[in-house]
Amino acid sequence: MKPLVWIASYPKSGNTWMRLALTSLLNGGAAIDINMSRRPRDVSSFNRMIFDDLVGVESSELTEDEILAARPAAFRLWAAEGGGPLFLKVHEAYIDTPKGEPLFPADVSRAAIHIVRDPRDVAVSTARSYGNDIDTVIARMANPGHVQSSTRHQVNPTLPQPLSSWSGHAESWLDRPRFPVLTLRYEDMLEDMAAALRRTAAIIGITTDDATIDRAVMATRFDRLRQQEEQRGFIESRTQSSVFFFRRGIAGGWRDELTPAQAARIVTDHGPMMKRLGYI
Amino acid sequence: MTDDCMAYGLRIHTRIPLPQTLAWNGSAGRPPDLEIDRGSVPEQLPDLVRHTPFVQVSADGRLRFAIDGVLSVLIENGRRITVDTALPDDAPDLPSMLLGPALGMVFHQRGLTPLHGSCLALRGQAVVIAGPSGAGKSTLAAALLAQGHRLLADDLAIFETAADGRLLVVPGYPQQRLWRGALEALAITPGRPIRSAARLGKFERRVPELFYPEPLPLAAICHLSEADPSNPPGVSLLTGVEAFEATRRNIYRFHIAAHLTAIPDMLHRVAGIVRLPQYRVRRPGNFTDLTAFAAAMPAALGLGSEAR
Repeated sequence: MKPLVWIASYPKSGNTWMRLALTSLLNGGAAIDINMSRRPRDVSSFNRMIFDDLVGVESSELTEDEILAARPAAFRLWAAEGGGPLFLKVHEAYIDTPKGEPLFPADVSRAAIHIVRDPRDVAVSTARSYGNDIDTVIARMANPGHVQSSTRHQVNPTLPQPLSSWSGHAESWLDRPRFPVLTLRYEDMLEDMAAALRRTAAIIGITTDDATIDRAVMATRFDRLRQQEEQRGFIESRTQSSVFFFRRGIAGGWRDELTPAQAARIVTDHGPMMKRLGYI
Repeated sequence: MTDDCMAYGLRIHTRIPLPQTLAWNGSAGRPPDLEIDRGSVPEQLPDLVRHTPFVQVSADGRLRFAIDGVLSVLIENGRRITVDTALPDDAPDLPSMLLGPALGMVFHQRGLTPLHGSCLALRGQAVVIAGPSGAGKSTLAAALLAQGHRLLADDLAIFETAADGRLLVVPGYPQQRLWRGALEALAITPGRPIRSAARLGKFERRVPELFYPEPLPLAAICHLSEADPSNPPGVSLLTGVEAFEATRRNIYRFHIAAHLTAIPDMLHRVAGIVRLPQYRVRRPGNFTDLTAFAAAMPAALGLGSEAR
């Protein structure tokens, strides 16, 4: 079977939760240490150090287009290292590189788990986590050219990630990949994570059973993840120190955190895709 | 008289000007260690043992490095670099690629083992700030320069062994490369962008007056990363396997080097380096706290308060 499994989502949409649950599931439903330093099969596809090691050049010397053009080949080199399925966190939209080939190469891709979340909650979560102004975040979510971790100003441990707009991102993963994609709504994961994990296991092709799935669901319940973060912090968090990465873990929180005008602006920007995903 | 230049102790005879470097000031009779010239570079080397979008390594140890539409470079025997490019001599891309990635591979071919890091003269000793791209090496180095310390090298740390057996760090050339965000925060006037293509916010910063031009004994290696909520800013000693592994990971482009030089030799050199103190350094995530952090670093590394 092809090795790469993409866990794809717009940022702040439940990607980390799914990866922790998958890690538990693959370990027989074991308890999760959110700061476990070694989850070697669960990494970011946009990790700069790994890319640099794979291609043999410092990406900090390269333009965003040069990096993007090289990434499919880098994914193939990564896949060729073997060792079974690799679960790669992805925030990029499903796009073509400047050379005209898909960023995520079908010849090494087993499947994608694509997670979507109500953009009104995404806006609130993003603004609160990074201390950004909500209107700035809303404008960014409408910008089809938005690049996260752009190198126009500084370099990050993560590569530049072209996100597209929120709608463009969702549409790209729903319609374009040339490998199987399971689209899950964050809201449905909250409602019934066991069902989401059963479908995930099926599309990835891993054998499991209901008891294991139930243990994985329990191990990654919001209150448990939040409790660990309160006690010891969270290594993946880039949030402001006063804000928890596992912040609320609910659906519809936007109702008490967005002004009516802000909520309306998001519906104006993303109405058709929100309708398609059942958010309005 | 000679027009040759000097970087990391090498006498470099180059047809492509490298104004970032110093003029050769060693013996006039010593032949050049490295020749850089324009010429044609084959599209494909034979018998590839490593092939990435940018790098080809041939079984005979030759290395081709290329960026589509910009340049291709052939590196042979640690002695010769051939550059195939339509860029003019004064394009910033040329020194960026020659003094960075190409020179790193030259040192591997020569059997030296460069570490990926900035190197500073701190109170009469050399301290290497090592880490992957994005860790903040050059920015922390700039903050240390602002404290009156001197630069030995910006991105590659090259070692030699002194007659008394001590490990020395060899000075590179008097230039840093810094990102726009760091330049603005530290109120530094940028030089040229490092690439002709727009949209990359990384700039040259020449620092002839802040450069330390002599080899210095290595005092410590700092393995740098950004602090995060579960790992606050600070300095802690690394020992044993952890220290060894941290240093091995900071060998410049280890995965390519593994095809250019014997791995046991590289690991042997790492073992020599880790006899000296190794520290995990978690830097603050914001520029405001970085100045105070840099000011406290020499003491945190156990370096005395003598002369800078």
